Amino acid sequence: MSRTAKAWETPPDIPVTDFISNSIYTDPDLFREEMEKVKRRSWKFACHISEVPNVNDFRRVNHVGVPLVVAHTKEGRIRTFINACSHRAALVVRELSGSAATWNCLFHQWSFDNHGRCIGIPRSEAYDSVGLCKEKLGLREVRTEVRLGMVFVNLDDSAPDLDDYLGNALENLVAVMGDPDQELEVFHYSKAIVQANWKQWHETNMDAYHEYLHYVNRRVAMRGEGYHDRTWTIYPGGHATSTPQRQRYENVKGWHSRAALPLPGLEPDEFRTVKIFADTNILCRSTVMRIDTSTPLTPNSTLVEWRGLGIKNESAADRAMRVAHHNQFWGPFGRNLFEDAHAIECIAEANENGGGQYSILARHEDLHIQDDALLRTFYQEWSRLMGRCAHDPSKKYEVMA
Amino acid sequence: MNLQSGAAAASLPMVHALDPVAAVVAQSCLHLDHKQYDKYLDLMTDDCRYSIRYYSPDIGRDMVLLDHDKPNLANLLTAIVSHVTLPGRLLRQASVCAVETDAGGDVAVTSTIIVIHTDLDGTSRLFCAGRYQDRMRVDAGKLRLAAREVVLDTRDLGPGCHYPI
Repeated sequence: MSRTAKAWETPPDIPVTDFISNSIYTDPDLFREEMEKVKRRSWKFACHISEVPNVNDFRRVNHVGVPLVVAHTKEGRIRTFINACSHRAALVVRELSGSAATWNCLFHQWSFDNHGRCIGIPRSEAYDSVGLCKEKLGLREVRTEVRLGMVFVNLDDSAPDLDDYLGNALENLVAVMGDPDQELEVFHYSKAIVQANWKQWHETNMDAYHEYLHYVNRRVAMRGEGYHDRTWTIYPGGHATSTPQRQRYENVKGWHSRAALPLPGLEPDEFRTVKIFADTNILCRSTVMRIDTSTPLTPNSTLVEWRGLGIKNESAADRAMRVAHHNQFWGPFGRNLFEDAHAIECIAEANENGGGQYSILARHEDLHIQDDALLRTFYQEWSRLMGRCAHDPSKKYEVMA
Repeated sequence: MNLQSGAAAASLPMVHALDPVAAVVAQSCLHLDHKQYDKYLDLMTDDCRYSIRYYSPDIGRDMVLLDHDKPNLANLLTAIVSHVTLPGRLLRQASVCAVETDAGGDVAVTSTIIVIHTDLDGTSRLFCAGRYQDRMRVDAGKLRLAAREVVLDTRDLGPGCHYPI
């Protein structure tokens, strides 16, 4: 039967860990708070090392709305800086990517090297009377670490080290991304602003139950061997991976098995995935890998970035095959991407002005693939960092035994 | 006239007044707008290749977003009805800018293209802008597309879409 307003507004009569308040998607105060307590203190996947392969290469990225520039220095280090001039905070680097050992701010021609040092101030003697000099005016450096070719950044200098943050979450990717003889590189990059909350995008990556949405997943994954036998492994900190599955690409008309040329460490037609809290998803579909991550813009809009990876220096024919496989599912004209993005925009539209009260995360299947355990784990970690309960953000979160 | 389906508009004789090159470009837009995929495919030679590309300054690479021969494009188009697709309509507006004939008799045609999405509430927004880079030849008595390369300037395509441009 339908529900009255009172019944609809009443929290579900299920454990509080099995549902969340939809206000956490829309409340602007909570949004600002989670940017500070969740996003700025978390390690963020920024880009792949192949995007800055050579000395002096740089790449602009964005983290919680803060412009950053990732640089490959002559010492071989990957360093990251806030991309704002120490003088009046104009962007120092305006190109999206490129190669340069030094950067000049367009406004007053202050210059910096890719170690973050201020190396030039026109007519700097005018600052002598107040004691300002180049040595005090370097760019703000951002903590940067590289694991398996993935560049991670953290705006919080007091945050735990990346290895403590990740724990063993990358263990299923070591064979895929860590083979020095078969390095991966990014061949696809696309980004789009999706009209939904950033958590809703990541939810699509943690929620295998939503594969019913996808025509091709119903054929390729759900008709594959042992789909429902797969289980999730959940790591401390909200990261996760699933047991692999052999998927059936030939179940879609005109598609073929991906048995040839799987990525290093993968079996033919193998699907493997790793989720990194709070916003990064890594998918391997036998021959090709996708890494996606998101940047919140407002409570109801999110910049999502997608990267496709193949093997560096492979033949043109092999690359073309991987690109074709990538584009079957992913990219703006892939068969899946629109469906995921449209689905969360539909959720956001309904929620924006209170059309939804609660979201149910109550599937319990002993960690089998359509269990909501990942979503519950994500919101447990979110609650811990926020100090608020996801089912009722007005309540203080207390760690349960 | 049934404005909802757009079928009547698609069958207007207007295109016959255009030169043959402009007519192929215009018909390709109309057939895709009205999801008349058989007619769209009939504009192509059997060895036609269709692709969508753009250059990404983010990674400094040319990127291929879709690349199909005619049979696989037909498979893709046939399956669209099984997907959850972009609600509303797309309107493709192409303007032929340059036509050159090569030594083999093929015609190279460059057109600018903008695509407008009109949602279910009737609000229209720019979906993408770019160019068609076509190669045409006479095949079975008709001028047809032997290759279409869609080169996009737009890189933020929102949630994307299942349809060719």
